[in-house]
Amino acid sequence: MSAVPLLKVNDVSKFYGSRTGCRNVSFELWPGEVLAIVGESGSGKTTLLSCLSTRLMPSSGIVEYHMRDGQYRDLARMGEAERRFLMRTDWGFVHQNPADGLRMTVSAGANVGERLMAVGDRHYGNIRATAADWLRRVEIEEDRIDDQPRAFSGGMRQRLQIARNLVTSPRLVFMDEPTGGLDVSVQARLLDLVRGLVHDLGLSAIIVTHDLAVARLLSHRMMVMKDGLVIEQGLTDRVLDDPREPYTQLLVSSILQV
Amino acid sequence: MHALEEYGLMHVKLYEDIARNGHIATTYAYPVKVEGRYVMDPSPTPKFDNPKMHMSEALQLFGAGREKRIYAVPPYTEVVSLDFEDHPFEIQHFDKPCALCGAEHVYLDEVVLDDKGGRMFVCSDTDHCEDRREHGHAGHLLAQQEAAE
Ligand SMILES: Nc1ncnc2c1ncn2[C@@H]1O[C@H](COP(=O)(O)OP(=O)(O)OP(=O)(O)O)[C@@H](O)[C@H]1O
Ligand SMILES: [Mg+2]
Ligand SMILES: [Zn+2]
Repeated sequence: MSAVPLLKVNDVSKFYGSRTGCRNVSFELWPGEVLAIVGESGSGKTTLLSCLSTRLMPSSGIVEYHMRDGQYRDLARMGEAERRFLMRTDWGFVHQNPADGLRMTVSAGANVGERLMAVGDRHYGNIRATAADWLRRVEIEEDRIDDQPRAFSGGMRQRLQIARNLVTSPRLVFMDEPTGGLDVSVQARLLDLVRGLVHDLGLSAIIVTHDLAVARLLSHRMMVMKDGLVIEQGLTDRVLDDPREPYTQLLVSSILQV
Repeated sequence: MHALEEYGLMHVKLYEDIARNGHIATTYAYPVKVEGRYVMDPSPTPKFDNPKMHMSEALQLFGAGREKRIYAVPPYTEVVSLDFEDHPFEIQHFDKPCALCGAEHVYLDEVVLDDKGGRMFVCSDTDHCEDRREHGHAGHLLAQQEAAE
């Protein structure tokens, strides 16, 4: 891990009219660190993730990102073009529903190749070879490269979405309930895969989940949200084995688990 | 015309084309990059005429139907067709001039003449073709017909 945080989040709040999305959230994410955001439905997890990933503009507060050039940039002040470039090169976003993150009517190869083309790769043969390599890494048979994700199972689609995001070697990946819509056995395989990739690539990741098992398996650190506030945060093992807040204790003792 | 955002998407279309056909088979709506920044689909201009857009002395107008907007490419603007290093942009080659007006270096459409395999290649731009014929130009088919009359 290098000596400075990748992401600095300072007092971020988001209100939808008079309703609270999330409130006064501050934390730092370090290179190579995986952070889980947990909490029950409506606690503000997705809202916070959206504010961090610039999909939503916070009502107040600052999110700063450590750019590859070594400078911190206030994401809210970044120009549209630069922000888009960041999102498709240095960042990834894995949606709960793969259809939201994939182009369902173009081939698997093109889904993976798109980001390469967006950053200027102009050699068809190389793009295809890299796409094939990534399909293999996410355990999709190479002969499916020209098939559209419409013809894929839910688990395959999610793995394809992951490959599409990781192909440009991003430094930070956001995931919103990445295993949410999948069967339990498929979930286990996907989690294993994600864990391996995150480790091999030294990725930083912020993973939203309401499943504490997912947090346990994937994250180093976790934040517990309730009513838009972060009520407890710490190393994952510490929070799960020795929760301090009564609400977290309830959550861990599975009384609140869905 | 789309600034930046759709850039990758236009290349995705070309990628799909090669994956499916082994080469870029797109002949119409072939995407171009304008001034190194904007990507657009120059319909209804056929791919064959894409190179003529580059540094053209005329103001060129394009309608983006879906967006209900008109885009203008100013005179003397850099317009480059998108492609891949290993599948470079190429225009079609026609062995013969237009059968009706004799024009060369224009985009031709194939027209089937009869059910015995007879066919001819004529200007895709019919206005231009008629205009040329009115001005006395004649391709081999027209010349044959006139000779027969
Ligand atoms: N677009 C919106 N407009 C108005 N209120 C919203 C909007 N999106 C979320 N909210 C509200 O903000 C609060 C937090 O919602 P959010 O979607 O962030 O929760 P969540 O923790 O992701 O829940 P879930 O686990 O169900 O996905 C909720 O009260 C929700 O109703
Ligand atoms: Mg949510
Ligand atoms: Zn003609």
